[in-house]
Amino acid sequence: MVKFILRLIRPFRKLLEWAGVNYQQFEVILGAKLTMDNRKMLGNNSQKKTLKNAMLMQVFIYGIIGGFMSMMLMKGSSALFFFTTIFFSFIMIMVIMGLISEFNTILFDTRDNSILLPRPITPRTLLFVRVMHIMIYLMLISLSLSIIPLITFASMFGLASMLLLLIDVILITLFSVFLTNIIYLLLMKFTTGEKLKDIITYSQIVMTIIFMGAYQFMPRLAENQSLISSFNSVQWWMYLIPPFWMSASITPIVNGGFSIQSSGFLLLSVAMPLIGLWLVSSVLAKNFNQSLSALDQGDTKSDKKKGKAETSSLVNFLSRICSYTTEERVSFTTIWRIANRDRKFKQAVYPALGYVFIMIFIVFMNFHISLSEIDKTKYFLILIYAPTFILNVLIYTIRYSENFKASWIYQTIPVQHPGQIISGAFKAIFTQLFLPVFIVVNIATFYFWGFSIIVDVVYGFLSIVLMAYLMLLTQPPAFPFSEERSAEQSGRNVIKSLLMFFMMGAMIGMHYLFIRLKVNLIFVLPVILLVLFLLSRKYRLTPWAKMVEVN
Amino acid sequence: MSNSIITIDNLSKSYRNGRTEKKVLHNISLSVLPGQIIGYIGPNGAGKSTTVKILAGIISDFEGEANVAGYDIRKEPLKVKEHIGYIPENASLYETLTPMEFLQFVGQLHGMDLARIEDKSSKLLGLFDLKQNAHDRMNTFSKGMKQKVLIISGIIHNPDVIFMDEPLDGLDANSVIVVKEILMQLAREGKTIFYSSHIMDVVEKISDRIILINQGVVIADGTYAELSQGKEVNSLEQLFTVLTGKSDHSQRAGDIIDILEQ
Repeated sequence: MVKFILRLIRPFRKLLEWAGVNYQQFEVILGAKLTMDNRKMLGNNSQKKTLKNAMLMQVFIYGIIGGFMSMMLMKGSSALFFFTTIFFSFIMIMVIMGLISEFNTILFDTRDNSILLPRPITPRTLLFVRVMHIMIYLMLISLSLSIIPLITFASMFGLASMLLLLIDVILITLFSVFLTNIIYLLLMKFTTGEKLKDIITYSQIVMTIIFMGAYQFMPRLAENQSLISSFNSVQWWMYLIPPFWMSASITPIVNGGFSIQSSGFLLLSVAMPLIGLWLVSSVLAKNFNQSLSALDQGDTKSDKKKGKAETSSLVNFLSRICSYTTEERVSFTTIWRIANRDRKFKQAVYPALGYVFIMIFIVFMNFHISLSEIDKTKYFLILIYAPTFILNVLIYTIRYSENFKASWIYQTIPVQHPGQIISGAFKAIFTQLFLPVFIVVNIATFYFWGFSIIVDVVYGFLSIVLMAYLMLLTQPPAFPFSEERSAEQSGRNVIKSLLMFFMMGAMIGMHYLFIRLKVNLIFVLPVILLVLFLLSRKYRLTPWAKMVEVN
Repeated sequence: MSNSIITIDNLSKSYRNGRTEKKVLHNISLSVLPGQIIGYIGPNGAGKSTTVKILAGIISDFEGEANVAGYDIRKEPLKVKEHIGYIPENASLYETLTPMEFLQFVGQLHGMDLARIEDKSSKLLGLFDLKQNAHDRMNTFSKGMKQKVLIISGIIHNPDVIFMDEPLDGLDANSVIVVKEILMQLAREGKTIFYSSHIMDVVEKISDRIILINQGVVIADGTYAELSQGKEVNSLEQLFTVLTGKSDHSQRAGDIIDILEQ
């Protein structure tokens, strides 16, 4: 498979050499990296099967999404411009999100600095190895999305049109990769060290939230008939939006009516990826090795100041009121501190916090909810329960860390019930991350509905906590930051997310039923508190025998 | 000195964070002749690894001048890297590769042809008692085995200068002896060894010259005989403690025991 991929890239040798790449070294390094990826994935036989299934599942899901998009083409060739714009936009969003959320680690990986940097490898060669490495995986996403649209195109417009679409898919993918890398490389050029790492982390979080929102909006645009009609003519602003370059050039070629305008878009669709390539290689690649070296130069930030803030009276106070035992309290403050500092953890969790607000906005948009009459409705339930989306991410992310090997410490502590540790850890993450979001969202609830719904808010909060404990108790308990994340686990987490949605639906349903039946929730609160007490106690008393073994 | 193979002139390195600056190297100047074995020693955090990483081209942000093998590391880093080998402190390897694959990888990056790499690799792996493991993935290797592969990867392309950062870490006694012999024979053939380590007896036995760095400053530079003259020391270890001003070991050990028993 590695040799096959390298053979596919070989025709572009001249282009890469024009970009200043030492092709012989490029192939050696890329080959080694792909071989290692392959071997990491294969592992033992059962891992091999699971990972292969996870990959097939990913291809399948993307294929289905592409299939749904193809349905727009059922409106006929008049919808071609609209369809191709949405299609290329979707690909661009998926590629950029993939790059931000998963593959940026390839670009910024400093673990092999001591292997590669002392060797006579030019910065351009090293950068392009990484870009190509990322591109191979992102191309898989693009091509999976494109399978059904390509077949549809072939059947409706012929093989030549299908090939054109395929070329445009490759071009938009290339452009998206170059665009994102240009942003990252510019960041690397103007900042270094700790500041760079912080900026990368926070910009990734912001970009993830933006693109997650765009991902939600795209399908809704496809249902907007007036929007579809507005795609009958080319507007000046279309020249500024990359998906239009592809759609506005392919549509007249397929439908007929190729004009000077169309040639402008065609030129942009071909030239911009090449300009991106030039920018990356000539302007930004020069200092890549230096930037990589700077990224690796350790954490010089003194955490004395931060340390003071984190073990401040507030955290100590919270740990005391949330914890029953010393072990739980110690775990609470320690995990609070780690969660506050660990970049990877923040990158995994913070986008979910922002996503809650996007989801609320989209739901309100979908239900056409008018703010002037909102207090007459029961839509406060949406606001109360919306933060539940974060739970899944919090509960599953806390187990994982790059420094998972540091979890050996748990095996050496003389704690009778390791549940104290995991309970303290969960409470820290819940208090630090979930609670502020819940409070902010419910400020809006109180604003629109008044304080008369305070019992509903309290009941909702306790229901969510109950749901959290149910989720915790139905999975094998693991110490915080003690496991290495794998693709197989990511696949399993998707299934657990679905279960969470069902539970959330049941909770909201029950709450709504109580409202309809005019049950006074004040009488329900003691029951829910009792159940919570019992579940949390069970979790705290988790024995060693049940714990997932640390590596 | 124009015959020097390594020249460092006012080398300084700082780490900046906002308004604060932490200087780890302070105006270090030294030169090394071809064929010398330099024992570069110092306490933890003295700046040894930082110096080695600058000379190996891993750290490129520094002040001052550094020339290796006749090339300025800042202006012609690729030329420098063609002539050096680097053996890092922590065994950083692509562990899902086999030793043969890793050595092929490294050799090809240095422009060697595959046949030559394979021939050299199998002979070198044999001499390091790794012949039977040549095609096993390194994630099953012990620390010492990985270190051997790392040493081979640092010398397989026959560099003129070899930078080593704790190269004997994890090696068994036989391998330590083999590596010592390799270093001495390489030096006799005109190779330059820049060797950073905490293992004083090895440094004492093989080094032509010892450079002691403390808190980013060179505090001693000479042969063992020159440095120990006039001091009541019997070993480099004792010389080290005298020169770094840390000779109250018994007192400190006693203080630690007292604290534990509180």
